[in-house]
Amino acid sequence: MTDKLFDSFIKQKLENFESKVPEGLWDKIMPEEKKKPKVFWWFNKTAMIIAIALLVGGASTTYVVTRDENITKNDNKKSLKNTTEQNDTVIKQSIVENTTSDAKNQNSLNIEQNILDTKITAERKDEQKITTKEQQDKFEKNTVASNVNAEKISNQSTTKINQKLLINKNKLSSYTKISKVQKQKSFTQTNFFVNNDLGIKANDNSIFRPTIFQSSNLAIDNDLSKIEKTSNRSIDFKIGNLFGKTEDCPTAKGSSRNDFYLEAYASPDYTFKKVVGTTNGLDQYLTKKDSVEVLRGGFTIGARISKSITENLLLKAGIQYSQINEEFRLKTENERRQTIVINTHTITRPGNSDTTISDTSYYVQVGYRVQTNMNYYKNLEIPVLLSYEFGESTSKWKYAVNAGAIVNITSWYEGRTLDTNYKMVSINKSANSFYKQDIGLSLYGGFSILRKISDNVDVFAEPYFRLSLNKIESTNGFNQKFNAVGLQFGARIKLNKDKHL
Amino acid sequence: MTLCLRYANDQMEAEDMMQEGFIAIFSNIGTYKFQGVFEGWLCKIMVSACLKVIRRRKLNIVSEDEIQIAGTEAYTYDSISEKDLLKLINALPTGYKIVFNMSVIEGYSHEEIATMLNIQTATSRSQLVKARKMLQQQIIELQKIAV
Repeated sequence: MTDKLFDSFIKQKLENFESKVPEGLWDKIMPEEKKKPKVFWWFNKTAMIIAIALLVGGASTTYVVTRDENITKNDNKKSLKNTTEQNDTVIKQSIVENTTSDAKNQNSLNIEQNILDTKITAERKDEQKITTKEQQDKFEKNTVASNVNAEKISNQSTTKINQKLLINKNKLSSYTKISKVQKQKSFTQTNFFVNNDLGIKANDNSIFRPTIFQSSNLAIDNDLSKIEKTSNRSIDFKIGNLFGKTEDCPTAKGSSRNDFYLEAYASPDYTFKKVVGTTNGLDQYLTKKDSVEVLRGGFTIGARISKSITENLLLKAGIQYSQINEEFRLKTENERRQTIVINTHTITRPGNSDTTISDTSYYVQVGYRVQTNMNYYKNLEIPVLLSYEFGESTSKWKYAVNAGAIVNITSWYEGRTLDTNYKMVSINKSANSFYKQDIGLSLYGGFSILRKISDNVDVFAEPYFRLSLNKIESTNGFNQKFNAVGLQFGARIKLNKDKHL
Repeated sequence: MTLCLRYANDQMEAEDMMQEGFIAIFSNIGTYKFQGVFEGWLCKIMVSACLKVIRRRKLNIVSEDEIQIAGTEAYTYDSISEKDLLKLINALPTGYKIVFNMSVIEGYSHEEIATMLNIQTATSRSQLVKARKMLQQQIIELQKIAV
């Protein structure tokens, strides 16, 4: 036996020989796999990046748009609060904007917060603020700044103010100079104040003991945290403020609704495929192709922001991932075996002479190979919908009719199909892609049933249909499009926490 | 499993190889390009996993002088079973066994084997010749016993 024959003998013997797999081996393999959990919709990095970018971009834009409005409202709220507190304690007031620090006790703080004379010009206020900031820089931690929004306070208390601004521009500047000289010394306290009837005047050295003000019954608040809250806008930050009003007030026309929702949903889809040949003579091919491909449903998963436009109408936009599954099942002839059968008969003739007769026949065995594979049509899309919501406000149940468009950002396909030569080809995204990666548009319609879970959370079920307007073009002379019906299940969270009136 | 048994020293090592192979398959399933036969791709990964395990216990390529192989005579091997054949292959020295498996059963060329095992092409050739002779001899011995 030659080496070649020996090799082929060994190969033939062992090629199809199967050994028994020991029990429990799969159990050992599976835990290893479980160490690397994969979130199935994040397998595509590009899709993940786009999704995150859109969500972050949307949230940022909303924040920028709504921020100014919120800050003004918050300030007004605080001004009202401060004024109420002050009215309880003092009638005659002076404005004292303090920057206080005590070398002996860094933590103790005496802030005298008064109402500013309406005569204080914007210029003076600016100077005071600038000087205060300079001192803050110079004395770092030993200095606590209190930037009172004097203008707003004064608007609330104009009638009660009978004061005079004693400190003037010159004093401010001289104070600044002195402060600079005192930089290395133990600086105790810096004050800007507008004097009042108590006769407290600004000293040229501007070194005032906190006790002076404590005794003047003007002390309002020694709590550092409160001062920070009222003086620093950025600290007063609520997540709810990002997405709408903190308080909704009736407008001249009546109550208004200004709700923001974040909706997350997922749905199983039942899909339909329509294949149309664009060139002649493909009927047989399309029939064969249709016979080897069976749709196996799909799913959609996504998130969207919902914003009320009117009392009943909401605009929704977000991002979603949808996948259509298709089973490719091709049965091909794999092997043909011909077996020759020889039947031998012996006939004994009279006279004991035997005759042997052989009948030769053969039969053919055909072996088929069935190749199965799952095809995936994957889409990243932006749904833009209008929703009309109705139902009694007191009821836990609400209903909505949704309609709009789903804009396809990108599509990519995985799997196999038959080409016009009935050969199995890949449909993966590549240079010679079987399908063109079209950016398409779909129409969407659905009916939502919403159930209130709490003040801020609703769950919903939404049967829907989507109708593709664009077709997926194939380089093999046909195009196909998918339509779908599905049932979305999801939850929506109200991002502005206050109820609308 | 048979593939792993052909490379392994024993059942336990074959299980380790199979386990590592399947983990590698699952980890790299996304890299399969649908080019060529899927079974071939699986086998390649399995062989790599087997070699990885073998490398851990250090691959021992046997030098030509170490093993004396008697000349073989013409013989028929028809009656030998697959199990026995597998046992005989397993009994080969590690280097012989790997080269023989890779060349004869998996169908790798000597260049590919040399690259994968980090050995000379000539070494691969000589290991194959010696492995073949040794195996032939063992088969004959086995059949003599059976008779």
